[in-house]
Amino acid sequence: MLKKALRGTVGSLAAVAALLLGSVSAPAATQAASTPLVIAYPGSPRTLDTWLAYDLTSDAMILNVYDQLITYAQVKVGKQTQGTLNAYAPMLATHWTSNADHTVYTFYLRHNAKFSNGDPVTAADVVWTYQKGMKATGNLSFLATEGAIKSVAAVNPYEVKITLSHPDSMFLSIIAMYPFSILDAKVAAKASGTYWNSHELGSGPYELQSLDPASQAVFVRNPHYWGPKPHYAKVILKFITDASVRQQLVESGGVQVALALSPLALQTLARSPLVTEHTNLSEDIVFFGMNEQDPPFNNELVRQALSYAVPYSTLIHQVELNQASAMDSSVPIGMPDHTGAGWNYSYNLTKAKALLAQAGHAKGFTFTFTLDASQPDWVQDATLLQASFAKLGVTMKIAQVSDSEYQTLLNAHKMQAYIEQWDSFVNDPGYHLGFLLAGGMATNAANYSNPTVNKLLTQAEFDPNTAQRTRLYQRIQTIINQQAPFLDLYQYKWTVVTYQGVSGYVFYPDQLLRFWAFK
Amino acid sequence: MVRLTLPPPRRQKFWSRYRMLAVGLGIVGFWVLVALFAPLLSPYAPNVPDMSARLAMPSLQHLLGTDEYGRDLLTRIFFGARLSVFIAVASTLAAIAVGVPIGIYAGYRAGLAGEALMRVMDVFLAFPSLVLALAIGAAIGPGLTGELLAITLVSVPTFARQAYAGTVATKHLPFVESARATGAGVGRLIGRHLLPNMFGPLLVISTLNLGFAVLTGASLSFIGLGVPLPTAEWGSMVSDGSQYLVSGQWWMSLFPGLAIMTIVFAFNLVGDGLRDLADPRMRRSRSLSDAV
Amino acid sequence: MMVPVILGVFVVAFLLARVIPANPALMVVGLQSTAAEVHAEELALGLNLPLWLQMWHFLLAALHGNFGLSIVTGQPVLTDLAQRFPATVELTVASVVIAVAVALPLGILSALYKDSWIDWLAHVISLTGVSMPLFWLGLLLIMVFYSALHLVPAPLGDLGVLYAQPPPITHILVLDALLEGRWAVFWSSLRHLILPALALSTGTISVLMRMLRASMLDVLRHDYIRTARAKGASAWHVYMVHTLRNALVPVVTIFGLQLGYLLGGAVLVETVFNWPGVGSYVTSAILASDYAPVEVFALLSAVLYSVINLCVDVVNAAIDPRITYF
Repeated sequence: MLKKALRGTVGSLAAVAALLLGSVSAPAATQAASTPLVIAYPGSPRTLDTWLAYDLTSDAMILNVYDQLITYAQVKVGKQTQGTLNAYAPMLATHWTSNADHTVYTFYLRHNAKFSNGDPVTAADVVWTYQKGMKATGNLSFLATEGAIKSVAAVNPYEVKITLSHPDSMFLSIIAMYPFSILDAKVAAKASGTYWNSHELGSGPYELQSLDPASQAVFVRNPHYWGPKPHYAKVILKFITDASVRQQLVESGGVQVALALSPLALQTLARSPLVTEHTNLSEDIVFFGMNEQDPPFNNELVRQALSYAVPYSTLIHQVELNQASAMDSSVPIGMPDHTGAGWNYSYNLTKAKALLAQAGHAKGFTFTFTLDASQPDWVQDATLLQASFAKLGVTMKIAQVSDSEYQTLLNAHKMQAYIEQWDSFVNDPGYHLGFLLAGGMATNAANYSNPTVNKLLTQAEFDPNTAQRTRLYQRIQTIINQQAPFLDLYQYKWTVVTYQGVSGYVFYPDQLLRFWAFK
Repeated sequence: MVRLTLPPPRRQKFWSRYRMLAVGLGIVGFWVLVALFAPLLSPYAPNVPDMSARLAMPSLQHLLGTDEYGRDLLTRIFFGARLSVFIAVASTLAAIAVGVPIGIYAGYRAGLAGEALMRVMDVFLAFPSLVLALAIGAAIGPGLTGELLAITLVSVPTFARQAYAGTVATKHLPFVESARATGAGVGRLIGRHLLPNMFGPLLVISTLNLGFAVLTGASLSFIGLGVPLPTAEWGSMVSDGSQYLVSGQWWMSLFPGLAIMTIVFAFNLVGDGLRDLADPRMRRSRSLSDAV
Repeated sequence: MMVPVILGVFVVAFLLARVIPANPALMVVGLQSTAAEVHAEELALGLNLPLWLQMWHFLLAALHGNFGLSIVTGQPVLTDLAQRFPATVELTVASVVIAVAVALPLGILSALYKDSWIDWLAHVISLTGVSMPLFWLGLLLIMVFYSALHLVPAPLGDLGVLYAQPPPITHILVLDALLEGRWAVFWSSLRHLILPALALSTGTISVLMRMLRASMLDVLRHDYIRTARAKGASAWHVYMVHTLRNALVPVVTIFGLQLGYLLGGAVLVETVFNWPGVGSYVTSAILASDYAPVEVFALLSAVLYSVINLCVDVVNAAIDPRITYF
């Protein structure tokens, strides 16, 4: 649930103001393209069940077929139009209102929305989706709790009232996410078991025509779609696990869009005149976690010493080939309230040695590092870190485990050291740090616990004052950055490659493709 | 005048058999020496990255090029030989240590327990060997233990069967019967009569099993069930290199694979040669039909 | 004889799945779940039951064709396997066709010209064939025929990306395309098929060639061949009719044994060529520690292998009336 899944949404401060920006969303398409748009995805969808899906392919397949009540707006950043997670646009709801203390929201549904089977979308569908989802295991119920949703009721067939248990700044950004896709209650109530793992029925711009998990998924326009007709009549997703094959295909025009390419592939493709690389900074961070309950990592001097022994620029330039960016805090750059205060690390072995001596480990020590080898770049990171630590006399034994064994160990907080990736589901430092570094959290595999940080996190969560919250989060970061619970390796960039003739790509920080945007 | 249908002179055939055996032994010897003296053969360390020499073409500095960490490929192949030879020898010895006693016991004491043991061997033989090795490797997880265990378990039935067949075939032979009649103990009977009689065939399948073990080990590590980083292992080196095949760094996959091929080829050559020497009529072997 | 072995196979497959250190319940409910949710899932999966009872449930479910869900695809394992099986059959059959086409002439020639240079060459070829790591051979073929010569398409599955799959008749892609007269699809799928089939065929070529040579030499020594020659039958007639037919008995046996090799080889070859068959499916399952597919694949291969070997015995009995197994 954590690795691929937790992608961001901004806890918005100005949800209503965002209405102004909201109208940019769906582009008008005048001419129908006769050739299909072919997109190379790195894997087949694990499940198309809107509440359970949490991989790149499934999420995108859901997002393009289903509608939510509201959606993320687009903004202009310089010359580039891109999606933002802290402003919202109408989707099934044409507009919405809330009471003075933001605990009751009313959403007014459009009357012309239909599912691809022709059923109209009404308040009953919304209520059914929310109520069922909140009772079921999955992302919807998890996020509903995060967004403080208490109850959902239909006022009339085109009006839905959502009541929160307390005002929550994350509420709107949460309900715009794909787990809150509105299902056709009449059909969904009857379907059972694993049916939705491989089927979709939504009111969005496309419908799923066929799915062969071994090779491809084919989408065609939803004939009943309420919004502007998307440019491509047909979109084909090819599931291609091998990154170098995806590279070859987009280079030769075999596919028009490719994503999740290896840094090496992107470096090669950059030389090709036929393709365009669209690169943005993601909030997906990679860090080296250390178990802070036991020696030697319970000593912050040791952690700081190792922080000075990370060959940061080698990792970024040689392993990631510039498809990553340096970090200066455990909170990613781009997340609200981010600050680099207290983070002074650079590759400096002299300093590392001095700190290690100060910690009483002048001769170094031996520890076991657990590697989830499913990510080729982590394998390289681990190899380079091992070599760098060796120069301090620190022996890093690498235990390579399979992905699910790694997840089990991570969950049990049993690893002495590990590399992990984190992309917050909700784009909020409270969410981010609360899950990663708050004492006692199930996801805090490093067992970092600082009473001051814990207290400040709770204080910030319930502080209604924005400026004060920012101050608190920055104070927390200063403490954390100094104590170095993680070695903050780098922050990934997100690159989508398009072949000539295809335009319209819009970057969203959730990294999901909107097929309708392509031209 | 020489008739054309006359079989070739026996002497020539004899020599060609020996020649193959000699070539095989020579290659095996080469790799064993490389494995023994790996640290002395190269100025480079196998596991120390040198990012400035990343992905370098074969050249005078790096005869076979470097990998994605700038490590010298030739050096890593030398060190990889240690692991391959070790895995081959260790798993084969372990398979002998487990399989031969099972076979002898089952063959000698033709009782229910022996019968049951051989049926268990049949169960293991019912799995295609690589599939079983993968399943065992996947269950235990990546690492040397899992790799060794997988290869050993897959090899055991072959040895058990051979020992079983050998025991059944010899135990009623007159000289064994007479030894028993004169009161030789079971241990002595097995040590003095049964084992020496099956030594030849066992030696042959052991040699072939060495090649089989190298190939299976390489396949496991290619799939990602190999030894931990940064250990140089031929199979995982091929796998690492495959990512760079399309981008033009062909040497990374080519040379480690060549190493695997030569050593397996040599083991097979030796096994074939030994078999022809031991018994020209003993032809079929599991390793040939099942090796990957 | 076969039933206890297959039961044993079940037990082995089941026990292997229980060795795996990951908690399957955690995999099902996801990592953010509470301990209570994980525990509930453990109960639902029956992980708290005694081992023999779990094994019994596994066996019962398996008899009903229920082998559990794949964590990666979220589908029943059997559905996944059924979907991918035709591609593996296609690859395997193609490799056998290539193997026969190469091994038959080479095997016959090396028997007829025993100890000549042809025999020697065939011997070296066959030894090389079984000594090469299949995955490496696959990579070499890609390197030469795709990266360098551009003679074949990218090693990406069984069909060019832009072609639609033809409606299934036999589910074998090349055959379906041919039957429906879709020449472009046929050509594309054939070009995708050739390299993986070639890679997979090497082991079979070696074994087939050696068996053919050995059994032909065996038969050539027999009196009836000499009698046939003495009676004035032409050399060709003797070799082709008498010798080859008699030599085929052990060769059919070898095919039974080869199936195991081919299934193992398919795992490697399909992985290298991204072939959408059961082999690549199993590899990705291994990497994701999704054990159910691995377990079922091992189980089904063992069962298939046993059944085919039984068939081979029956076929042999039909070819050669002297053989009785019953």
